[in-house]
Amino acid sequence: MKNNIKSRAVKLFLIFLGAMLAMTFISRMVTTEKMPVVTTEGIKESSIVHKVRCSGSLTTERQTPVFVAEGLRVAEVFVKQGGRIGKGAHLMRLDKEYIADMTAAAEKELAEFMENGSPYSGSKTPVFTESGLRVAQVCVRKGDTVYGGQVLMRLDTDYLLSHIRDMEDELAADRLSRDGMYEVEDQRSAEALSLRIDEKQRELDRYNAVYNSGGAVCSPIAGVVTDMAAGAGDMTTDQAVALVSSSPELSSGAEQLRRRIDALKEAAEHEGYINSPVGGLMTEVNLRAGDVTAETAAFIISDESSGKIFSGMVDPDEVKYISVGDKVNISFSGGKQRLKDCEVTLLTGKDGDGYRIEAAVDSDDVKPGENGEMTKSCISEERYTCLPVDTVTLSGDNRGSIFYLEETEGFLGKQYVVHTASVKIVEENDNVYAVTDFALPPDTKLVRSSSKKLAEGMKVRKA
Amino acid sequence: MKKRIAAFPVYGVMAALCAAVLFPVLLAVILPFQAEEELRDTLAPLVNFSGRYSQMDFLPQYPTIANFRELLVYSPEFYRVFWNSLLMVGTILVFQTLTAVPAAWAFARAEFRGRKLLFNIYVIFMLMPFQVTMLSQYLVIDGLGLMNRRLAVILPAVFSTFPVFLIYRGFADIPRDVADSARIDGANEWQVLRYIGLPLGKSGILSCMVICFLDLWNMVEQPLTFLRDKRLYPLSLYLPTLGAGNGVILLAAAAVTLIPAAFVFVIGQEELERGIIASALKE
Repeated sequence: MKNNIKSRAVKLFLIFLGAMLAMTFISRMVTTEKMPVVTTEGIKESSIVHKVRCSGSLTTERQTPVFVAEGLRVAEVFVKQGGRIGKGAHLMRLDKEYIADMTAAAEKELAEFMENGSPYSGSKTPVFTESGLRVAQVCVRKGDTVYGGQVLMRLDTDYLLSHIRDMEDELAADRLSRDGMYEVEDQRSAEALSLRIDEKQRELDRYNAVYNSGGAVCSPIAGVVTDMAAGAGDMTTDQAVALVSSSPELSSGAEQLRRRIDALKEAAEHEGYINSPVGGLMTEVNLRAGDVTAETAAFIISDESSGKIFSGMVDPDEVKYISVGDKVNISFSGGKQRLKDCEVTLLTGKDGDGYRIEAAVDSDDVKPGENGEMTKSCISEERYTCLPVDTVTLSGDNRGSIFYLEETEGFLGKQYVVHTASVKIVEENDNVYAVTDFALPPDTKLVRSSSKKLAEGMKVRKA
Repeated sequence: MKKRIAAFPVYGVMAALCAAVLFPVLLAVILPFQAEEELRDTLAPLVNFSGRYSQMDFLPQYPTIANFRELLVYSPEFYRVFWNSLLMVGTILVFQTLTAVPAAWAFARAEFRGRKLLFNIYVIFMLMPFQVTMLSQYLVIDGLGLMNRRLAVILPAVFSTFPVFLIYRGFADIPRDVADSARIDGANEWQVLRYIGLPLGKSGILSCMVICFLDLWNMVEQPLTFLRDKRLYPLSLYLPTLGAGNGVILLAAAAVTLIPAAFVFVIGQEELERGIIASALKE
């Protein structure tokens, strides 16, 4: 019995050892499969080369933009970008029918605006007449130019005469009443009534004056009628019946419409052809047949004799690396044409998303209108700890985090454990980040890539 | 019957002592089956040194083998230390027996001057704990250029005095007449040892091997002193390095560590008992 147990125990022990041997391999394989494989990079202590790049195009110092009335349909374009053009040559032809339609629409809009809106701005002189009179005829319209003393409207003289008769009757009655008061020696009431009679008399005199002038209401000054408050048949009030401006100015809306109409008419006069105002090189052609004209310049014509300049926009973060007077390299035609030591002549303040930069180009091999790329390299004076860009994960606020390897002696021999650290980025270029507060030794291996997501303390394999 | 009734209190005391002895073993078997969360709660008072006592259910709330899976599938270092242990213990046992058997035979059977003195010196060395000889051993090992090598642990153990003493008792009690008759028949000293000494002293040799295996399987000081690289560590050093933070693996590893010792005990139990009884009878 005991021998049986012993032999079984020996067998089981051997099976146990066999299982442990098998599991040794399995466990290693599983762990190897689970373990991230990383590639590493070293750290360099060096100056950082910063490369400023900006795209742009070649232009000339003197350029002439050609503007066309907005909203017109282009029938034909006769020029191409990069082509040369003489003064007066056709640039493009607009759709005539479209112009006519647009002109009519603009004129209608202006008329409506003049009629209903406030087309004039500036000082205005009000024209008054006696109130309570009926307007028989309006002689001018809003927008008409008038001279001083010109009749603006005529009042109904019959109505005025009956009004005068009524007033005279009232005055006669009042005078009788006043005489009665004097007779009964009511001095006080008689004097008060006298004052009223005088006032009415003055009013009657004014009405008589209007009647004597034939009921005409005249403009006191020469100018433009900017508003007519009363129409034929209306009763006059204390308010001004008209407004006359001696120096009339169209309001911006009306002025815009007027200019548009002028432009449309001008285009129509030339049968829809738009001609070049100057001779030169077409550096920008922004329209094609079928397009509708926009507010921006339709064409830009460059004068080559004025000198060539490269113009582009520099990123705001990179503007500190470049200044006026610096020498830059510019490449055109995808790098086929390389111009060295071009001097930066202008670096303007912030304009939209960046800073406008201009550099003088002195070469006959490149034409205005060609696109190019400007580059400038500058080496930092300080030496920094430089980390390859692949090894840093940016976390905002000029900070980043890195994973680095620590070589330790483990139960399975030499092993690598990843740790994370935070760094502050002070400079950067396309290849490296220059960092400060980096307390790790110079031979530290930084993780560049990993087959799996890494975490602090994780064991990894090196590729 | 009266004798049996009178023996009950004795059985009761013995049972209580057995339970006290087996309790840690029981814990070592139960705890690895607790889920990670439950185990963390159980070990928290020990890890945090909060002054509280650890409380546990003797049956895990949610029994799981996840801890063993973590150890056996995802901890390849465990196998490294396991095979390190087995390699060191096996090598020591083989060479220890090869050196101890002739030495014990010589002390038991050879007649030479100073035999008793030499044997007494052996016994004195046996009684010395490792801490006493550690420094001298360290200097010798370092002088031999064996530091941080498995041989640094194996070599001193191979020449341990304890197995000589254990095997000596088995050989000493073989009747001299049996050996003499073999010599009369023309057997040389090696043949006497091979055909008379080894069969008759087998139980002493095997019991010595069992006891030494259990001792070597749990040795801590020697590898801790002579080995620096973790890749050379045996199981007995692996467990303390895990710490309470890795309680999941630690307890599972402790349970698995028990298995070889249990097997060796079951396999060698008969010889162990026989050797102890024989020694007791002879004493």
